[in-house]
Formats: sequence, structure tokens, C-alpha cells
Amino acid sequence: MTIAANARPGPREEGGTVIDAATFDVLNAIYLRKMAPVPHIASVTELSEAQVSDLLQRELEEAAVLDMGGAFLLLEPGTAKVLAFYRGTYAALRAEGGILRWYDKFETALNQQFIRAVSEWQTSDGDDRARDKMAKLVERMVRHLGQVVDEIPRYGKYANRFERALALVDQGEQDFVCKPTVDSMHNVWFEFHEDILAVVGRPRDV
Amino acid sequence: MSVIAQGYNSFETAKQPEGEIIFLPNPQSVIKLIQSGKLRQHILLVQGGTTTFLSPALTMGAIGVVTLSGAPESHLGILSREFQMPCVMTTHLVDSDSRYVTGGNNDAHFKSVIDRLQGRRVRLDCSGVEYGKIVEVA
Repeated sequence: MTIAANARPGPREEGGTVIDAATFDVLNAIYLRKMAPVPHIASVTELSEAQVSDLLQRELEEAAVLDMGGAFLLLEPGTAKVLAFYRGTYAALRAEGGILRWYDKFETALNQQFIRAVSEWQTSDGDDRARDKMAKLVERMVRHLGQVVDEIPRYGKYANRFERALALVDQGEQDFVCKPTVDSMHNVWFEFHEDILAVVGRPRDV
Repeated sequence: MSVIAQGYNSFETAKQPEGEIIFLPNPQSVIKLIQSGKLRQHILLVQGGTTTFLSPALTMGAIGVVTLSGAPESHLGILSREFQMPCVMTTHLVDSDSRYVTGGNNDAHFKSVIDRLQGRRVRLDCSGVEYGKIVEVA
């Protein structure tokens, strides 16, 4: 796949809003998780908790985020900053088209099967075969991410998170299959799905 | 008490949450409800089964959800099972022939269900294998 080389993430300006890559990473972690505490944000952004807290303090003062007792939500200005960054940073990728084909393959070849496997796992009371199907799809997902990690370097972090969750599941930590409050296989998948939808410009919420 | 609506049951449960239905159309409405401190007094009504902005409400202890589209395999179905929170999906009114149509223009259908359910005090009965019921209690 050939994707425009000038599509690397970086500071962009949209509608008078300027955010740098670190601020985007922090706000985006909340955008994807919908409600996130500092340790989670630090973990997925690979920033220190002190850096995350400093950035969040500034965003609190700008009314971009809301502190719900240690867990942060995005307010409208925060969401606008995140989506402006996506638009500005990935416009060239969208125009080139390769990322759209890669995304379509994710939806049709991976996502539908994964969602079915999650439901099977839940409704079978934790059947090993359903869990193994999820794990195989996560392994395929890691390989799929490898196809675009040169163009979207931060997608390497999803591969790392998937591999951490897989390892924990292998060690018998069933929470890391699907539990919504930890970095489970399903949670990482869900956040990636939100991310790629924003990259290609197809928000799904109704 | 009477069944006023029903839809797909995301999972079988003996829980029967009761509350006033509130329609949540966007993330702002979810934040406003959480900040009101009255989250657990309501059954949450949303349009889509893939609605993701409801996540903070689920994390904060929502007691029940009703959707106007989506299947038990969709995002809210998966989360409802993880949180063990009753969830009725692709809900329709029992005294109406109007139904959700995949890929169709459902605006009128959605409006009719929202208008009928909004503000009603109901109990969710999700004890059935396939269907969940919305029972008006007052």
C-alpha cells in the first residue's frame, strides 16, 4: 500500500484550534475510552502520569475536559480539538485512498468475526473455543496493523496493547478477554475501531 | 401495569430495573445526567446499538438501557452483558405496526417510540430468552 509520506501526525490548525501531538494523544485517549483515569491515559500514550496530569490541568482550564473524581471526560471543545487534529493530520491519507481500502478490509474480514466471537464467548459462559477464536483474530489484527504502522506510527501502540492482553489471557487472566474496565482484548479492539473511524472520517455515533 | 414496548433481549437476567425513561441523544446529555446525580433513577434510551457515548454512564452504574436499533451482538449488547445491566434492543411499541428497518429511513419510527417512552416510569423485564419487555408501572 502506498500512502502519502507527508501524512505523519503533527501539529495542525483547524477552526482556530492548535494542539500538539502530546495533547492530541492525551485527549484522544479520553475520546477513545470515553472516560479515562490518568493511569490509563499514561499507559496508552506512553507519557508519564505527571506529564498527563499537567496536560489535563491545562485542558481543564480551557474547559476541554471534565474531571469526574479522577476519571476524565471530553467536553465539546475537547472533542472538537481531537477531531480537528484527525482531520488535519489524516487528510492526505484519506485523499490517497489506501487507508480506506485497509479500513474496509478490517471491517469485513476482521471486525465482524471478532464481534461475533466476543458474543459467543460471553454467551457460552467463557467457552475456550470462543476465547481462542478471539485470540486468533487479535493475532491477525496485529499483523493487519503492521501494514500501516509506517504511515500511522502510533498504531504500533495498539499492537503492543493487543499483545499484552493476549499474554495475560494466556496466563489465565480472563478479565483481559472482554472486561470493559481493563485493557482487555475487546477494549483495545473497541478503541482501535473508534480511532480508525476518526482517521477515515466516518464517526459512527448516533 | 402493562407491556408498552419490547425488543431483543441482550441477555437473560432476573434483574428488573425500574426508573423513568430518559432519551439521551448525544454525549452532552449523558454528561448532564451523570452530573445531576440521578443516573440510577433512569432507564436510558438511545437510538443506536453501536452508541459509544453511553460508556461513562455504564461505568458509573446505569441500571438499564433501551435502544431503538442494533442487535445483542452490537456494542451496547456486549457492554450490557459485561456490566450485567439489562438491555432491550431495537425496541418497538406493542400497539403499533411501525418497525425499525435496516438501512431505511427510520426517523418517523424513532420519533414515535421516543415520544411514547420519554418520561414514562417503567420496569425492564429481561427474563425471556429472545425478547425483553418494557412494562409501564405508573
